Amino acid sequence: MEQALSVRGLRKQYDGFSLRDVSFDLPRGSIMGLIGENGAGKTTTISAILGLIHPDAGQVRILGKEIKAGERELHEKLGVVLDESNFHDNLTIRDIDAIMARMYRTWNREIFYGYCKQFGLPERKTVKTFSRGMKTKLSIAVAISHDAELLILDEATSGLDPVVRNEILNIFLEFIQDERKSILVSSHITGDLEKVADYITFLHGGKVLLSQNRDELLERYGVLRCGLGDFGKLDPALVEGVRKNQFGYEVLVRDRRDAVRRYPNYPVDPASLEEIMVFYVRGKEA
Amino acid sequence: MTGLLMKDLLNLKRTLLGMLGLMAIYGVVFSALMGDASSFLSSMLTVIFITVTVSSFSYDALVRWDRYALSLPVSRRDLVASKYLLAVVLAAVGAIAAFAMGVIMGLFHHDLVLEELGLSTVISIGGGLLIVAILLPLIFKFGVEKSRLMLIGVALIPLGLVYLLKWLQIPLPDFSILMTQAWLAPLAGLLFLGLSYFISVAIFQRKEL
Repeated sequence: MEQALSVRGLRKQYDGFSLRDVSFDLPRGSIMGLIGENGAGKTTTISAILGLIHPDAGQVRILGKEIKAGERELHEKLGVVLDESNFHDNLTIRDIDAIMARMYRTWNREIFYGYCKQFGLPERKTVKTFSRGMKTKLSIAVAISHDAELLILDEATSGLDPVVRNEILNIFLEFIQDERKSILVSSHITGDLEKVADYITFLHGGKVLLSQNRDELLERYGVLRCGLGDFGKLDPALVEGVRKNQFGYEVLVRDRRDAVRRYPNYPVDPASLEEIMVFYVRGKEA
Repeated sequence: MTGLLMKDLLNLKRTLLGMLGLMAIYGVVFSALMGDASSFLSSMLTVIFITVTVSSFSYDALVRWDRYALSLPVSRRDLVASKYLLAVVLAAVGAIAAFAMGVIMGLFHHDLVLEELGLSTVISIGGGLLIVAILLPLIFKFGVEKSRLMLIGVALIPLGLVYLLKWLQIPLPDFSILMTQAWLAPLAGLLFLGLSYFISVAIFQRKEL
């Protein structure tokens, strides 16, 4: 399968934080969710993919081509939404149209105005008057109005209300109807990604904890519940993370079916993405 | 790159018009009180085009524009070049405005000396471009907030230089001879700006955004 994005062995050392050998593949025609707590390395990874920072090591291939320093040709095929509004307060939709027409060779004015209308963005008002949700929708409209093949969004849905988030998720689904197109979207709102992402890459402390198909992930992981005295009886190899409360333990297990077979007396429920994330990040403390 | 320049001009449109309007009002008041306003107008022009250039960086910093711009098909070199182009365009707009206002006021007072007006305009452009040439690499290196203070320092450099020469008892060139070569000032300014551009590109290439 052809990869829309392929990241290999990405490394970047900062004071107090480092990205360690980040690797993952995003197949064409699909959506990948990049999840992880704040400070896990999501934005650093995206910055490296976009060439905004200089990684110490590693390779990024976009649409099958390696990104070279200073080369901007591939960026024609990218649509990017970063975690804040990047348009100046004094600009209007018309201004932005005029600017973008000079940025992208394939800029499509009709499509852009079409999206602005669909998203309810007023043409003549300045960006200053836009709400947070409108600003995000504007950024998305810009990102998908020049026939981009890969959409990269950093925390695009954070800070928005559920109605707007849902609208945006629908735009994503519509976008990948064309199977040349793909999306990489980072978020700490795991519920959103659970709805739309085909693949999940989970970053924690600058490392990839897991990167796999969402359905497999949700199919396999489970949460086992047992009493306070029973935790010691479990095979430690089975335990991925643990949470203790006053009644007993909740244990994240990597293989739900195996856990049910081996410990038929304890209830085992499917784990949500959020539970997987929280257990991995906080669940080592018990 | 035209897109980047356009973004700055559209965004700064109001600031620029406001500044030019202010310049006109002050010019009128000044010329009513003192008569000849040409030196006043040309020094205003320098201040205006430097402040507007710097405020374009402030606006960019506010929305982290650099990060976004470099995600578009825009190279780091383009981004740097657009700022230098902006400075030149603003200098030209300011010069034309100052000159035009000077002519109008001169005609009004019946004391128009085109030569003097032209002279003060070219010297202001030259001086302004020199300051911008020193300032832009500092902004690309340290960011606009830290560079604000440096702006004051940079503006004081020529003054310091004159004092240094005096202190070292190096004779200053005769002012009137200097003035005959004044038309060279914008060219010298552009030359420094060109040199400064290469320094800024080298700085910005290495920058982490």
